[in-house]
Amino acid sequence: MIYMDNAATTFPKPEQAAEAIRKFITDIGANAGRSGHSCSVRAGRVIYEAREAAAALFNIGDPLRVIFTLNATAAINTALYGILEEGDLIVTSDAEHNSSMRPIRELSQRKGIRLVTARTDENGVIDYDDLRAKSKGAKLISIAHGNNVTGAVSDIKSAADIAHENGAYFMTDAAQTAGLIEIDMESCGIDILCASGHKGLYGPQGTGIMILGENIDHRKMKTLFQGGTGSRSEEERQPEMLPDKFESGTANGPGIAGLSASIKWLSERGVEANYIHEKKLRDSLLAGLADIGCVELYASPAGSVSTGTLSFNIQGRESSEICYRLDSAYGIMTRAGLHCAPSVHRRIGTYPEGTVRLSVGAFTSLQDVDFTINAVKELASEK
Amino acid sequence: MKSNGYILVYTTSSAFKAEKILKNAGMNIKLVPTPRHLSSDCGISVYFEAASTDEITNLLDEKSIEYEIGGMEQADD
Repeated sequence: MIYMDNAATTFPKPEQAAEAIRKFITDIGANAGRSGHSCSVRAGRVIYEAREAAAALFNIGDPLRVIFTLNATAAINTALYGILEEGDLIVTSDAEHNSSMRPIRELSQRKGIRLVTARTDENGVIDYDDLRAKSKGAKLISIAHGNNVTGAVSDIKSAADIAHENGAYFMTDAAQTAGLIEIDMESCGIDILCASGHKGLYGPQGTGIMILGENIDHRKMKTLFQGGTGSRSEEERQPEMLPDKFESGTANGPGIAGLSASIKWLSERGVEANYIHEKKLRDSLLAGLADIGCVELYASPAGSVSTGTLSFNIQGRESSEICYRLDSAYGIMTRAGLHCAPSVHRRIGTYPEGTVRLSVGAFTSLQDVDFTINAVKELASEK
Repeated sequence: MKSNGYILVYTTSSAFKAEKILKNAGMNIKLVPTPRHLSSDCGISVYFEAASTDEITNLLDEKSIEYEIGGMEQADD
């Protein structure tokens, strides 16, 4: 089996993650923050160390500003519903994933939030001039760092600068880039970072993070849901302190233990080394597919900063058929269709048909890439 | 003067944060269940032995941890 769907979730995960999960569910097991016994303390320490690992990876001084969520979507919803109030203006791009677009549309239609979208180029990179022109009076600017269809990466420091010039907060959906591209929240000026734990951070599914920068006064944010936190139990009102304010209910202890081990593995391997590995593979994939006559590519160019993702179609063939044939005849796992991002496909001209998406990861080899190119070549040569 | 006592925090995450800071400073501390008569804010607190509260305050205030000190008693010499 060749796994080319790392943009949906990376696979496999590092052995260290599996071992940490096993250890948590067989040796630790207790509910973090709910009891004072030593097992609960050990569970809590595992989760606190995960916060430290994430804070170090994204260069945030206070680990308590790392909030664990179910996934990137939950992180994005928590941030949007927390920050935006009736009458506020949010500026986003015309090439966002539904994890952002759906909550933003909902807020816009039902809660009186004003929405403006800034243009992107043919690969989904934000048009900084258009963003600047539309950002006056905005409360929040939210731009995806990496495009989940084309692999294009926007310069989030420039976008954050535009936000701050206009007195707005800057938030980024880093689901496609966290762990693959170095992100220094402080030097980039990112006020809120949302990411999956199970993609480029190589943790298990069911993990995500929202990190609040020092500029964000969390006491002014609203909570999306409320509940038990193991703290301030005499009060029936949600506590204000971090991270409890945004982490009601029992934490995903096993998942966070796995994520912590993965981030440690990633930090030892090096985000830069990971990028070089994926970039080399993606460039080979891009060059190999570009040589096939009837293949149409939807991908940011080889020379640009990109993720390990690209899309293609074979002229006259449905993406779903190609995806199925790659799986059934060659054992290659890909993803066809709209990739939860209809606005991206509208932007690149592949709506509603969609594309076949290939995405490499840390465990993909050059042989996997060559095998995939040959498979596409054979499918393209069929009449 | 050296004392024994409890650093009472509002969230277990703060307890772990304080634990790390104070251990790195070489203090003799441990995480324990919070005595109910002292607080119901958080299930665990940091118990310190033979420590200077001024030193604790300096270390924790610098890292913006919210806490109170309770259950103090003079340490044995």
